Amino acid sequence: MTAMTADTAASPGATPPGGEESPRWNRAQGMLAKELRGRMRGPRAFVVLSFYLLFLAGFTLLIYFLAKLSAASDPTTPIGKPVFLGLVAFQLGLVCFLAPSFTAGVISGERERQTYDLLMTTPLSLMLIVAAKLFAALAYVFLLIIAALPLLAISLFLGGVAPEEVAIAFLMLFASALLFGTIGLCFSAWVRSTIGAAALAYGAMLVPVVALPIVAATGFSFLAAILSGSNSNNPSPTVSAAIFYLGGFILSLNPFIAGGLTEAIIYSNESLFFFTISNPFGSGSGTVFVIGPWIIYTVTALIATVFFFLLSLRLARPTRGGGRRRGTPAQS
Amino acid sequence: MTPIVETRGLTKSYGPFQALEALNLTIEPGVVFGFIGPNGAGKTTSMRILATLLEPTAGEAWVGGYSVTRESRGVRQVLGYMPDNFGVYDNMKVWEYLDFFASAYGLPRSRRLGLIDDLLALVDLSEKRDGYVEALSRGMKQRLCLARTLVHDPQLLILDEPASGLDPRARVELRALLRQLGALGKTVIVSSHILTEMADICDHVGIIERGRLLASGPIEELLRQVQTSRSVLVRLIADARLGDEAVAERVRTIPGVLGVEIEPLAATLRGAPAVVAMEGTRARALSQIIPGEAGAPPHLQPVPSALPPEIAGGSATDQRLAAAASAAPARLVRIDFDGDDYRLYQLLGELLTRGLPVYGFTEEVGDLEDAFMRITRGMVA
Repeated sequence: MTAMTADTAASPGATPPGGEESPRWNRAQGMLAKELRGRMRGPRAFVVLSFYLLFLAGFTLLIYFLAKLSAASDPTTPIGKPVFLGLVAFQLGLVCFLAPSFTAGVISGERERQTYDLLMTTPLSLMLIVAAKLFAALAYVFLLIIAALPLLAISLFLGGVAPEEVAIAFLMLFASALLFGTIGLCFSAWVRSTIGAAALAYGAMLVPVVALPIVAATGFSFLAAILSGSNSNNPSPTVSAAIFYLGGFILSLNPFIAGGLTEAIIYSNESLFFFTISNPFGSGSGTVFVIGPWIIYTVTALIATVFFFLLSLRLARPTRGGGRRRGTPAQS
Repeated sequence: MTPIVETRGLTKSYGPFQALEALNLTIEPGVVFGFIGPNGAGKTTSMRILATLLEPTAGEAWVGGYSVTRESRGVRQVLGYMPDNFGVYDNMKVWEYLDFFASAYGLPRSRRLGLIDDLLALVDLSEKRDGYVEALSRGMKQRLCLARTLVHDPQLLILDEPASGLDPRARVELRALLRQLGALGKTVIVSSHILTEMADICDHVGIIERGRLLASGPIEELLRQVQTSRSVLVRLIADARLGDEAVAERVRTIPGVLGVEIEPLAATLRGAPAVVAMEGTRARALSQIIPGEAGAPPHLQPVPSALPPEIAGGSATDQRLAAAASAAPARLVRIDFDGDDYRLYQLLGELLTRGLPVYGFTEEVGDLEDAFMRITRGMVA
């Protein structure tokens, strides 16, 4: 054994000589390298990506042939559109399921491995730790999204798809990945076990994706039945407007519905950002401007992402312990 | 000198359960401090508060002059912490593991590479540099974690039960490593249940029970504090002319002597004559196991003489003593004594003046286990 020499044991936080990186940069780089190395090391990441692309290519071919068959009766119909819509819907579903599963273990996993305390006693800020973990977890999801770009490009060649549609689709995919990723992160910081965090994250993800459209459809049908049954007592324009905007907003929180509505608007040659609806509250109520559903979804998803990220920071604080950990005495 | 660790009224409660109760502790730089106490005494709680992992309910603590509640970032720069249960990143190589933690302390890459080699040499893991952490044994992982705590050259190391779960060899290696760190001038706070190890490694200890610090200070001072009087062991060469009662009488009348206890020394057992000279249950027990020279077990067989040849063949007095020794046991006299070092010196003179054949005179110092048992009184179930 040899003794540690004074010159190699650098003083903490010392500013390195000119030309060397700053301590802050070293911390960020080290944290990111560790997280990305953990995600990408070994054959797993490569194998998953390969099989994902193979599956996606097969799925694209299937849609292509189905679209070709249906287009046989009407040769003017471009077959690029169904290929594009099928691929984007598939990727959106994948993001909804993959993003929370990738982030549900980032903090709870550290606690389970009993490495969290080691991290917390370093000068790494909680913000850096959580952000690096989120970035590394989502980087792989982003990689899966971007890797499918050549397949999406095929739909452009096949016709019927505008580049703006592809851009909007990517924007919504990234926003979805961020939203569902931070939901997983939040539960990971709150719950001690990764399995519990993943289960809760999936539950939370199903709220906008599955529960919201069902509740909204049921609620509006019920409301419509009530309103149509009481002709003598028509709702006031204010109530009608409130129902209209609230319904539109709720439906736009679902990425599939928001995407579908956006496609319908593009199909009717309306603006990508705003569109008009004539007489939405009965005859004579005029024309109203409505924001594009994809904007509502993306902005809401980004705001929710910031909220869940900040909540994760609060829950991940070691002295708070996070949820169930609070109030547990140390061993001795 | 500014203390490296200072706590004032540090308290931690979990509902009605008080894990730590007004802990006041001061640790000077360069000290190897042993935190000892039963399970649930509050050792880990104290260490976790000092490591900024737990917020105290009341009171304040400073590490290296930084407040653990308000300046946690400063505390983390001067502290290396190793929890009792810790994990490692299994999908990392040994050098990558240290490299990551070195980068976490902001060290530039150019310094990290040399530092990693030095640390691996220090913990004797150089040959495992490019191996995966998951392939290391528990003892190696423990040493790697210790190396991790040193990457930023901290002033203070807090090691919670570092030897738990290690095999005997790994324990010995870890103990040597901790002594080496102490020699490097690091302040080390270490907790353990194995008091003999603590006595071997530490120069200061703190005894904690039910969240209260019962005693703290240098080991020798602590041992002296818990002893109500001094215990002196006097060895007398065998002399058949002096009976136990006569020896006891001569010692008892010396000023400062509180009590006398005499027992024969096993190494000079003489068989039947010696047993006759003894009284009470001890003599009866010995007569049962030593019926005579022929029947004595090998390890209790008589020795030719209790005196070395140069003394046995010396003056007439010495020869008379040597002759008497052949028929009597050497004695061990335990004297309970009240007095300072000078009085102790006077006691030795008195013993010789009173004609007692002293060949050994030592003060019996209690060990850490004695002190621990006396101080804690078994208050924790």
